[in-house]
Amino acid sequence: MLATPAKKSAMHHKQLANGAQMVERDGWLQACHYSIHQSSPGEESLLLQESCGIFDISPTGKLLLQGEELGGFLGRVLGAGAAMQPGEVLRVSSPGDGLLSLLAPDECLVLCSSQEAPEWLAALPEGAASCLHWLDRTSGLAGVRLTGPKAEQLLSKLTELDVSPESFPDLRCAQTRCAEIHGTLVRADLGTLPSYDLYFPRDFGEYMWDAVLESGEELGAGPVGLDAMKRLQT
Amino acid sequence: MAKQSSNPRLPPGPGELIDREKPVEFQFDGNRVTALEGDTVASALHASGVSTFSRSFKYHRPRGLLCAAGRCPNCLVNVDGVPNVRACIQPVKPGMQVSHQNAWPSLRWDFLSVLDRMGWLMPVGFYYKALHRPKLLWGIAQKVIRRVGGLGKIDIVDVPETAYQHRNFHTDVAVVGGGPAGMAAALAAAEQGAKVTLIDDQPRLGGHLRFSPRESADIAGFPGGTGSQVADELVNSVSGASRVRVMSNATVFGCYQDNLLGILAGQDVVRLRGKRVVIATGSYDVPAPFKNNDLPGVMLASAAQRLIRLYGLRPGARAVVAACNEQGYMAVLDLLDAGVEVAAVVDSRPAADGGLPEQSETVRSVEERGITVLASHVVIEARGKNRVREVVLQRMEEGAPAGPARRIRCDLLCMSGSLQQADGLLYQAGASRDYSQAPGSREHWALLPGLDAAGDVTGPLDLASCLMQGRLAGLEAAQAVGLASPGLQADVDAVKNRLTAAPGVQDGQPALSYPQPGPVGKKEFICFCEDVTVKDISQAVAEGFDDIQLLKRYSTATMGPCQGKMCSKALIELCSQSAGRSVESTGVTTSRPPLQPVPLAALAGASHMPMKRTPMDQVHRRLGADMVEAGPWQRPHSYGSPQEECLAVRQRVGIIDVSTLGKLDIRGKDAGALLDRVYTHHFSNLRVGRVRYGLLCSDNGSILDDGTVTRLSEDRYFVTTTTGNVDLIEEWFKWWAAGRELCAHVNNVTSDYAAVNVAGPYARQTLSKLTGIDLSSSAFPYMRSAQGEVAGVPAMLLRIGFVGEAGWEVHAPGEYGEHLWQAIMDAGSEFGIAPFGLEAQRVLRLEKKHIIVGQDTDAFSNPLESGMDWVVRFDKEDFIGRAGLRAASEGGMRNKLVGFVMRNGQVPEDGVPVVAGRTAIGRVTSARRSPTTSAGFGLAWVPVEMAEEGSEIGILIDGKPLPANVTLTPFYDPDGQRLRE
Repeated sequence: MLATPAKKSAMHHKQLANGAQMVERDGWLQACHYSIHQSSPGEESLLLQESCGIFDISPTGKLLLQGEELGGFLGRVLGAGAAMQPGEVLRVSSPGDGLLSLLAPDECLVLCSSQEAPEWLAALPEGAASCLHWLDRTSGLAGVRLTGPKAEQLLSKLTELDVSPESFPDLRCAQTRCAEIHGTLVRADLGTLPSYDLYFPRDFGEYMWDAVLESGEELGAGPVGLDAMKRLQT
Repeated sequence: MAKQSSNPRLPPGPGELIDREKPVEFQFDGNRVTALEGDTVASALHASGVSTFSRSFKYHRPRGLLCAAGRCPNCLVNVDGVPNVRACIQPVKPGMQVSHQNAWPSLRWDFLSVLDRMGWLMPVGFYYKALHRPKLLWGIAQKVIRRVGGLGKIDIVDVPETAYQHRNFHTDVAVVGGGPAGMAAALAAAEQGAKVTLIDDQPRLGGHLRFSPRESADIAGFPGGTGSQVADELVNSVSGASRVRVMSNATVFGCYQDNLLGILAGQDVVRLRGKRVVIATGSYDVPAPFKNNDLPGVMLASAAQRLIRLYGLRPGARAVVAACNEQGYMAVLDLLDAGVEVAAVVDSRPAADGGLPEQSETVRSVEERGITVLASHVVIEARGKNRVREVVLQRMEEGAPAGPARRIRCDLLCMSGSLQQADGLLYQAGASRDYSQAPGSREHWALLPGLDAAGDVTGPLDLASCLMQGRLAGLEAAQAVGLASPGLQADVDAVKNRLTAAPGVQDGQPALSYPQPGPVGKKEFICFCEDVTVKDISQAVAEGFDDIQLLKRYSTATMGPCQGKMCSKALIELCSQSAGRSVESTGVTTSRPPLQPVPLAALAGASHMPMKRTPMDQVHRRLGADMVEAGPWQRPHSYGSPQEECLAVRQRVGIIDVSTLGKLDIRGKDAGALLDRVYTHHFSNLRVGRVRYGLLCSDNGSILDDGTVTRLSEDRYFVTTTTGNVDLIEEWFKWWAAGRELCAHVNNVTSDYAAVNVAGPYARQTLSKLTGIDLSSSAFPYMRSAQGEVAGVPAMLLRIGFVGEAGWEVHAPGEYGEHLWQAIMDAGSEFGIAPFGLEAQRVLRLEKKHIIVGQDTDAFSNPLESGMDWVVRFDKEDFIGRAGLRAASEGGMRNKLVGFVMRNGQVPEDGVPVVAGRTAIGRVTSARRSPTTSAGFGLAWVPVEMAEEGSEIGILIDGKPLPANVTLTPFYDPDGQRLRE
């Protein structure tokens, strides 16, 4: 039998064309930086601080929880007295680190790192008698993260949703049409920088990568790799 | 081009838009034109002496500047390859190439101007009445009319580069119109904390104040001064209001549902959604009806004022002004200040005390400057060849021109008096006029929630009332969006009281008199876009088209580029006058977007055409696949030779990318019940690990879709659908699950899996090298599934046989797609594996008589007639389509889908008729040449009586019926042995 190969994002070939230097992280081939930013290694960090960095988040674990008994499960996860309204996003640390994005009263998207996904799956009760179901959409949903002061401007070229800080503040989510296709938008700021995660069907990966890059061109936005994102988070 | 003689540029003045220190050069019809930064193409051409800007649509008459505000069609030109650009609002740019349109060989000498003398051949609606017999004539006439009629031409070879961008903005309050009312509304809403977007179609805020010399005193909360000074003060306040975003040079072309505004701003199309929208678009003057009212040199008084005050240009040397209100007399003063000799002011109103029509300060000022004011007079004709040279006046007697004509020499005729509210957006937003309320009050408009109107768009107002109405609209908008400061209600009440006490409504305008139709060549134009005259409208009404909507369609008035801005008022008035009805009962034409011309490229925006790619897309391209669009997908049609690909599958092993198959995950304790309801077959009794073919029908029993259903666990099914129908089926399933309150959750997982079909005699050997799953027929028979690892990645295997060979569909996570493909290709290389594309798959499935829904079926095809009665189970509980199928079964079949083989080797095209003699009795749905027997074969719908093994049918090929024989069994492996091996 063959060894397990590295996973490729739907935007993999587009990123190679953008000069991505690929490394394997968490089982995925991911861009650590892009050679189109030739001036200095810090160029992508600057992009994040001054304009908008476009980062491939397809490897994020994406677990969809559905069912009438979702509310009860969330109550157990969140603890007594806590409740979520559709459109809200919560950072949680148990059963694993992740973001709970409540899309509807009976539908929740759990976003976690690929290492955390098994912990979540182990904690999810499911049985034929229970109306709580989970579906791992990690493969089916590609994702891009738009981070930086001009992320809102870029996004407003792609979606009719009001993504201004007043209407769509940190830790909000929505399902919306974005670049003419259906997507799930989650706002989870990185420090003081506004940051939006957009998830969409994998088949549209290359299309979306082009649409986002083209739309961001006039704003000076561009792709950023793992290195710049890590620097930002530290 | 027709030119004036002297340089008309005036000394610098306050409020002008031009920068006299910055010359800009561009080309007009190959001639160099020197302009100033801030000029529009029209102002620059006027400065360089051009008076004719275009030729008219139908009669090819010369047309000059009319409105100078982007509202009329008179100055449409081609700019850098883009036709129909309004020269009067197009800023000049260095090096731009401007050319005339709709004239040949030149703008001055237009061959088709002969049509002006042939109006008698082209009466209103002539193309509905003439040129239709014989039929051939209309075909020719259409081409001639299209060639002769003129609205520019698009160069489809050398497409100009455009980079239109779409943007989405949101705001609390959107204010349309940057005049005094609009700015007051914006400031009031912003001071209450609302986020405001103020949209104005001019380069600088101020509206009519920018070219109004009228002095005003201080108004509560607003400073007084000349128009320009008041405008500057308001603009300063707007600039200092951080909550107000100003969009200048931006045209609102549509007001859509839920307060969505469509805006064209340069290269941007902005979709702005406001919680509240205030329409403050003001009003404008429109042309008066008299003979030759379209001659160059005849322009609206406001156009002359714009030229003077915004661009520092003298509009003419000697003018006659047709005025019947204060604004017209203001224009006279402006002309005099600009050094224009004013020969006379013609006022249709009767003389009052002192011989003047009105004893206002402005009118007296005009008289004091020695200008002749002719009360009770109207202009009945403008004369001149390519520019007005003289006007003819006549005294009004008993409401109509009478008495001797009087001629006055001039090169400029300014029209003022007939005002039109810029109400198109209000109508689009569902507003209607309430004629029981006086114009000038906000109550004059019956508005839908979320919308307000302020300023001159409600009726003619003085400046104070304009500002107050704007302020009130702004305050109430803030209230409506949930902002309420402590003193807000008191403020609202105070402004309301002020408006009630002094409404500030200006006098109504005298009704225009529409002249009797004139002789040939002397036309009174109503619609400048479509060359519709007073005579045309009168004639159309006489013919019975007296309903305003029908009249519009029949005459085409209001249907041109200006969308009725210049003519809708005149059309309504003339229609009511001709039909003997009131204006109120005549009604209005429907205002629809776009209110202003918008390039299609702008609406299209950036080239974001959603396109799906499979995880193996790059692999196919590297293999040299001929990619085709299949719905939203890019798929390999073939890799070179479809015939070779077919043979590889039949003789060795082939692999095809089937990631595009629709895939649904159904889970929940009622998943089986849901599938029983929507499919014609049983699925709740399907054992775990089994696969079953399923057919979906609509209510009437016609085939909706087909695919396989695999039971993965007690409460989980994996369903495949046809590539193009997955979204529809997903919705269909969710609809029925929700309607019956089932615990069945439907998720579209098409994008989750990369999928390949590996088929052929060596498929088993190939896959066995990559997986530990026992693929032998005994352990893994036909229509079974298994989950395990293939090539080191998690996978699901379904043993099915669309192409008629032993084969497996392998579904693996999309991120492993390329790896999976390559591993199978490597494993199969020793067996001669070959990739095959859509075309080979179509041939192979046809040999097995496997249908493709949509190709071999249509909206009337049911499973019984399609030869799939074996999949319909009347013995189970109700299912979608059961009643329809039962009725079809009891009523007897009329047609049947059968196979056929051509007798003489021809291959018919898909869709050709099956014939009996010369009568079509059926149709071929799919046909190909068999790669194994070389025979032409396929599937066809035929009458049921002909659906017998060996029946002879005729198929029309190249117009000849050629013989074929019906076959009821699959062409290849009729017993299905190879599938099960």
